[in-house]
Amino acid sequence: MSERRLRFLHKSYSRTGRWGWRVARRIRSFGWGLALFSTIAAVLGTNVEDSAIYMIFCFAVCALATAFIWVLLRNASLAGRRSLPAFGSVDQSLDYLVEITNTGPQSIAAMTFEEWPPLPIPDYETFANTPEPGEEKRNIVDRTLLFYRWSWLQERERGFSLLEASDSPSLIAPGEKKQVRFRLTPQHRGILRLAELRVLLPDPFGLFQKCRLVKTPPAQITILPKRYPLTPFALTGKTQLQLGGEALSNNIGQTGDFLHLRDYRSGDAMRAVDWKSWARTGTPVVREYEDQLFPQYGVILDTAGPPGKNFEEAISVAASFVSNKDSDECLLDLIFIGQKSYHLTTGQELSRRSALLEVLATAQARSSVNYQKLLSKIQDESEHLSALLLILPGWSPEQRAFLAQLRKNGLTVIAFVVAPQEVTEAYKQKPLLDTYFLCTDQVGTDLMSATSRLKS
Amino acid sequence: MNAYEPSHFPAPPRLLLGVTLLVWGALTNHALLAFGGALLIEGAHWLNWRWRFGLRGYSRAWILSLTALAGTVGFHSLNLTGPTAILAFIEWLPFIFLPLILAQQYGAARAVPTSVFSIIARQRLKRERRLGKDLPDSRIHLGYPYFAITLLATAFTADGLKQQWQYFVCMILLAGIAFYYANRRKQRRILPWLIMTTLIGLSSMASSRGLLTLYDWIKKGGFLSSQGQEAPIEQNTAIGKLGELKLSRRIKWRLSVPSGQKPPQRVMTYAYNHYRSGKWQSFDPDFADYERSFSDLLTIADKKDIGEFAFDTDGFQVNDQPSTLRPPIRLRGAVTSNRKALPSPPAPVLFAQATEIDSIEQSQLGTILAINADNVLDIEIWPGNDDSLREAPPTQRLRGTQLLETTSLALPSNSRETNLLKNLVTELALDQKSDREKIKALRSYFQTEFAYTTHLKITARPNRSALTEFLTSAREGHCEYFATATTLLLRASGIPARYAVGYAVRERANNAGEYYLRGTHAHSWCRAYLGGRKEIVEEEQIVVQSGRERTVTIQREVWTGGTWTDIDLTPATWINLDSPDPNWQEKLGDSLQRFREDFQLWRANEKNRDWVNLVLIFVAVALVIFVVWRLSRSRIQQGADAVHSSYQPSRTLSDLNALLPQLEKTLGTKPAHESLTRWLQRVLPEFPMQSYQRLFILHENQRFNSYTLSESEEKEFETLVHTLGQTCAQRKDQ
Repeated sequence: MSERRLRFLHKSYSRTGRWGWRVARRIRSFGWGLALFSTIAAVLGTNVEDSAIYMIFCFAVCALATAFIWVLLRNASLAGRRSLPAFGSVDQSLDYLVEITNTGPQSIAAMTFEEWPPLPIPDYETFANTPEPGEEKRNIVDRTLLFYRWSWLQERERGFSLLEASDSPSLIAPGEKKQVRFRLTPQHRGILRLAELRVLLPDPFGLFQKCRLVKTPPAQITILPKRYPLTPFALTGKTQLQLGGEALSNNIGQTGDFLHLRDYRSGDAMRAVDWKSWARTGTPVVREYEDQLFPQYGVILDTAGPPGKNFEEAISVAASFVSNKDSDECLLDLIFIGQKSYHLTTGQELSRRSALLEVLATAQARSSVNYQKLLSKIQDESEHLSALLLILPGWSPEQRAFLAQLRKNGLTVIAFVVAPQEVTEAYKQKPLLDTYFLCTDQVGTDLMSATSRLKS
Repeated sequence: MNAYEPSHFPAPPRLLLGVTLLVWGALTNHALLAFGGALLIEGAHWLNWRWRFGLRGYSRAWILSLTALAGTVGFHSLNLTGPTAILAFIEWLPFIFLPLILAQQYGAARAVPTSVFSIIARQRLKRERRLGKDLPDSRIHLGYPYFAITLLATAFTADGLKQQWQYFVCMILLAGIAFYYANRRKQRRILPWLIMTTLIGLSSMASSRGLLTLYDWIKKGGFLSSQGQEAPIEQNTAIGKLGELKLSRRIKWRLSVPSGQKPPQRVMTYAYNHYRSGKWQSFDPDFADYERSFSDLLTIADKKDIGEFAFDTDGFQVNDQPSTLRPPIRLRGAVTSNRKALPSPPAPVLFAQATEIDSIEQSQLGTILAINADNVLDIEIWPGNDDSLREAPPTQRLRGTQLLETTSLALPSNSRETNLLKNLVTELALDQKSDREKIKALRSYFQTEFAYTTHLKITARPNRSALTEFLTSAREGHCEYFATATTLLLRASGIPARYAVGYAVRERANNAGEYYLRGTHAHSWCRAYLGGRKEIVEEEQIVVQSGRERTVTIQREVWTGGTWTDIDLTPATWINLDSPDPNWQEKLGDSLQRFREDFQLWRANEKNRDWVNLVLIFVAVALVIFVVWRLSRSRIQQGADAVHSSYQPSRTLSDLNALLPQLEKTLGTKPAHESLTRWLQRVLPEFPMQSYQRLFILHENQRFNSYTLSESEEKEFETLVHTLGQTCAQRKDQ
């Protein structure tokens, strides 16, 4: 399709989308129904002698006109403040409260509160280069107009569906404060901004409604990626000397078994000093613990490829490993996302995981990745690691070469490839060593099955 | 998903649908049926019976409704003709959609999936979901749409002003209540609703009255016509239009002629006497109201449910006595209006109906109308000899209050046209010829200098009308040009003449003595009063002057002694050009049309009608019994799932329960006192805790709550159960 036509379609949909949404929200289902009914009555009601259908037409037109004028005369001035949690997860409902204050001089009755999602307008590049799944099977009109692609992209980028308050008050007096509750189910990961709280003021027949903006400070929630349950697994590879259990403990320092006491040497930590023994002997004495050996692993998330289900599932796989609490005998130390690396070296366990999940929440797919640069970075930073978990959102020749190169460099790499069913089926017949194929449509099952095999 | 979807209609309040159906019954005279329907619909609020229909069940209800719709349309199209046949089903919409609303009312689900109404939408939804799109179920409650359909059906049959205003009051009340309950409880406010209902009621009443007034005004010719006077019967011709003349090939009438008789060459439907800018009008100055210019024929026999209508009873024996007249011709055809013009040969005497007709009316110009005839008209026409019974002789009439005019001699008001006609009369020396010679001269003039064509290329230009173009430069056109020119030239030469339309009888049908009158056989010609002479008659007449009635004595010319004669000067080639032999598709269409009309005539017989109705009732009852029998087998009690789920273990066991025997083989038998969830956590701790938590939530939803898992949840549940099974299998291997 020519670029000119694509640009025209993109421009048209961008403009009409904004306008259409706002008009659609102001006409209620009964308004649409009555408009349709009046059209039918206009067609059938031309014979005024033999039928009274023309009376339906008159009624419908008068009702629509009266309701429209009524709605124009309604008004409200409200302010609100949201109480939001810091994090949410994809597909998991979360509740939040909004405190509404009537700042106007009049009481407001018969209202509904709605939280409108920001209207996603896909950019031209995305619109032009991201075909909808199964688009090739659509008819020629759909393929020419690309409306379904536009709707699909909008749906994909929409953070959440329109929310309606579960308990809108029936009356708010001037200066009065009321609380309303919303239930939000995030549809995709990332930063979710809430900025358009509306109060809907319908006419008594419920045909139209005025949608007034409630003044609220802007608010946002970080939506973490979807995570899958994992069976406990053990990784192959060398075990490194580590300060025992640090990754799992709330205490900082050595946590291995007590070995013996010895004299204080310059540089020993103050908290290692055994104060009682010092008091008893008069010389500074420190406690010495057994060093612990733990396998440590890193995660590499390949961000090459188009945005889409494969990429989202790959992020979910990475998030599943990051958030896995059941791996009590191995530690996650490092994660590469695209060209960047993130270390888990400071802070408490929980906060470190949250920080990593936050990073994953905002990860974006890239059209190209410099694998050579990434290889050298991994080589530099992962010397101490027992093994690397490589998560690939595809199985292209470049990705295969990258995996081969990692292994050639002496690293223990366990690969998880998120791929369509035909690829996973092909590799079920001739499995590759330490490479697990996860079918895009059943990543949860395949991942569990893969990690259970890791254990064995 | 929110509990209340803005795109879906809520359920209407109790009794609203039932009362609306009763109003429908009262205004359509189907009170008993309406009462039954209302009981069925509203019974759902008191009966505890419910059915779990699912997509398939609702689809069947929809198909049943569509079948009823097709059946009703088919039934009406066999019984009725014209545009009314297509729309007659509207009256029965509440019963056509009864299966659907009953499925809604008695279904366990609160609303019907919208994909039920379209196979394409269903397939598309399936495909999109297969491609991984998470599309929510779109559902609609059918209560309010059904309410609207019932109101529409009720309005469709409300004829007459009294019934219409009765309907209006009911509609405002019902719609007001409907809209009040359409809002959610917290949004209902009685005072604003009352004000708005009153405002809408008053404004729609005023606009309805306004619409009626406008309709009357337009009907009386107030719009672009005769400045508020009654419109005369008018014939729009194609004179002055461009393009190809297209006429319908459908059979309009069938004419059966008794053996031994020749068919009439043409049969007239309408005659017109006043020409104005390409239009012919039926204008009678004595009767400004054109309906009053028609008079009923005498009803001479109506004892056997068949009426016989005649101009005069002379020469005809009633009550089955043999007639002295020639055997009648028979006319059959579909009736598309309640004032249908009958094509009849000149000088008919009596019309005997085989199907129902309220009356037959006659105008002074010879137009004969069948009033409120049955859908297919079947009538016998006895021909006579006295053509003055049908058409009155030319008479000088008082036009306005002063001008006496013989309408059948009037020339166009356009002076250029009049001058041209007079010049032509002079040129052809018609003034000095007898009536027969005038016609002969005109026939020769048109045959030699003019040609017939259906390709219309004459259009009016400034100062030159289309008729002038035809007579001076173009010299080719279709029958309307020839008939108009002949009529006006005869008038200009002093012969009273009218413009007539009807059919040429040319196409013989397969049945002996039967002829088809198709749309392409429609023709126009001139009716001239030949051999007549003028007499002066003195009479008193009431005229209105300055708003006061006054009796004046007037002398006027009355023509006598002549006969109205068909003068058709269109070149004879027209019939071959306009009416080629029918092709196979047309023959097939003709057969279907004949079958339909003959079936309707057969059904019009009361005996046959009873049989048909009996068969239809039998089929309907059998269908109802079948549906009731099927439904009786799948009935459930409302709320049975939540309260009595333990009594239906086969339906409410979850996938996890199904896995239990396999788990027990490896992990040992589950103690009866311990719950499944605790037992699993105790005996299989290696399964991740977070997976357990999710697994148990889904298991409890499916097992104990009346909650249907979504597609994605079902898939997730299956995955977790499968993995649990695998973990257990690994334990076995160890």
